[in-house]
Amino acid sequence: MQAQRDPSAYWKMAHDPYCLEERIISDLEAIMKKDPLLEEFDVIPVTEAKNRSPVIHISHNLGIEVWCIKTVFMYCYENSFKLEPLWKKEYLRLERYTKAALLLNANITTLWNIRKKLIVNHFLDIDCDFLLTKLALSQKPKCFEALSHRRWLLQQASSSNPHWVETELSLCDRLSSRMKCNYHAWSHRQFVFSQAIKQQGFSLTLWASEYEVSDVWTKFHLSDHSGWHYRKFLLDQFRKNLDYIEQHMDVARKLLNNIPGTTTPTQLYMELLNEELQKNEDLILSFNAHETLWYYRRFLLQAGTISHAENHFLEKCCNSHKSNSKRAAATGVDGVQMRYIEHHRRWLSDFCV
Amino acid sequence: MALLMNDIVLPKDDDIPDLLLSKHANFLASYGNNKDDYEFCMTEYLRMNGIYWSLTAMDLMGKLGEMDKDGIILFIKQCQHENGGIGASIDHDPHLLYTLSAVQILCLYDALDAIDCEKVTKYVVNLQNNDGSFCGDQWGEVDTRFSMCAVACLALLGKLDAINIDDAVNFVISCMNFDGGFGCRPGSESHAGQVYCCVGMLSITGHLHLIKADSLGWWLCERQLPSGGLNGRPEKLPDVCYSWWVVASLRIIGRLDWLDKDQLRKFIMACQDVETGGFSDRPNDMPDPFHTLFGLAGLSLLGEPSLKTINPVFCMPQPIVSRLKIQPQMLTI
Repeated sequence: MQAQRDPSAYWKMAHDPYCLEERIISDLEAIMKKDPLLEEFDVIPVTEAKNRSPVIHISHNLGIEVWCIKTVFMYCYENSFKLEPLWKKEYLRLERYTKAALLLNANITTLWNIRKKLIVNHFLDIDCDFLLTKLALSQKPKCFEALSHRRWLLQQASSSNPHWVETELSLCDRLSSRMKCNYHAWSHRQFVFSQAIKQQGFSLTLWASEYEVSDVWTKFHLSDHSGWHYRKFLLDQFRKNLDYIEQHMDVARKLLNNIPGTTTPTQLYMELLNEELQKNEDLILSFNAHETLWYYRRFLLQAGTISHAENHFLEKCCNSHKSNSKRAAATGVDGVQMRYIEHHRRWLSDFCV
Repeated sequence: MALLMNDIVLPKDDDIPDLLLSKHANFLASYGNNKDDYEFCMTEYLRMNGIYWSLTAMDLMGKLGEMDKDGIILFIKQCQHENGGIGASIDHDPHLLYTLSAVQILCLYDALDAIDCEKVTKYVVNLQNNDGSFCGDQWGEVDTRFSMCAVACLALLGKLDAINIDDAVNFVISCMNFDGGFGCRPGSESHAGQVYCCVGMLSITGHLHLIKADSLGWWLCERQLPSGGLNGRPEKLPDVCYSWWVVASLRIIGRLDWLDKDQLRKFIMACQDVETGGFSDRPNDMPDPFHTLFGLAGLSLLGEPSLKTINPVFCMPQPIVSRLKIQPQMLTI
């Protein structure tokens, strides 16, 4: 159960620049250097060594054949703990080993930390780790340690890349599409949005563009609660910045397609909530049995004012449920939708009196 | 219905096994013995958590004596760093996640004097930020999980007064959502695991009155699916670990009776591996020590008589918490 590091292993691991592991790491490294537009990394299920390099590079994708990953990982992992980050002679090797080990297991916080030390001491260019985290995340889209490292990188260097917000948001798009309800990816997106506001102040353009993206995204991922939560987050951001919006009402109206009859930012906000409530009603009535839609509805109701029309809405749901019940009974939707209607009724009576 | 709800179908009642205590003990005692170097290294980054999960589960079953006490204590000593923090394994960087596990293990063994506790306190205190939040380590990531790690660790060391509690509480409260749940940072999505951390943190610091207990209790109960199992967020699959995060939270806020306990018990029992021992996330998956602890801990909260009572805040056997004279706050209806 305990870690036992055999001191004699150090000598066994003595540095042979021509050993198999070193050659494979060099291949990985060469491709990462040559192609900064790499998109994805993955392990390829080729179980037997052939007479060629196990490192594969096809149209901006990097792969490594599975037969060699144990030996490469062990070699890199063991060596990563033996070298001292701040010894000039060793940092190049340390950089190689931590990079390859993290590609094969991105959960190891200590190895990410070694790279932070290398960056702080100017032994490593920060862009290398934007690429490395991107590749690691392409294989493990919800890896907390890789995203956490990336947040650290952003705090060191976000000012140096004028397009960092776009880059991060498109990374988040990919991660949340890859894995349903990807908590860490959506948290990262909130971090990026908040960080952008911190640096440049609240921006209606950024807000409106995110609001639009999230509208499309939620439509195609109805049952992803994290996606809906991000929409709540955006609506909250709007509410928190009403003072700013008041100064820019013309821009706000334009961005929000000239919602008619709104003169104050509060009215504009209420109008957004109403629009959402209407869309939510349509979704609940046309797509049965999505719990997420009901949770989002609760948010909208408490954010605005609960209207008496809510009972009317529930009636509508029950009626539509009855008229569909023949079809629904056959598919089993029946009980589920009734369960959510009942939950909603109770939620209204318990928490919204 | 099950398919539509992102749920599973439990086996028939007759096919759900009884509680296989001796198999679980064997599973945990031999876990790791059959792993090769590669698997050992791949999981070394969470070794300290793994030891805590296994030892706590063994203690709940009254089998702590079967584990290598001296070896484990020596290992923990070797994981403490100059700054007082403790890493997941030897040569791994210190972090609050592993510092708490190490302190919990030493409490199980009544061996806190094996490490420099003053330094641990200093380490934790230095990780508090001006807004009351805690970083997990020197590199600055903030998360409500780390707030829980910090106060749980200090409470076990009897040093809770070393940090600014009001600020710490205010930060956690700033992560509360309209539904009564909590996320990892202000404005983050409610998540049952984060809820447990925040509720536990507020219990240890005596601030449970700040919770919207009914609203939260309702949200937590909605995590129960027709199979009896619990998920951590809407429309996710059930997982045995939420038998801990959700049930412990409900217990702390005095609303455990709102769940269908019999059905939950069936779900947990169905997650046992009858061949190897151990619990998995869902029936017929691979068992591991993490799910084994939280399966047993969940059963203990549901009143399983063959297990020691577990403390819902610290996830440690109640006799240990009583010995340390710690009485975290609990709500009643």
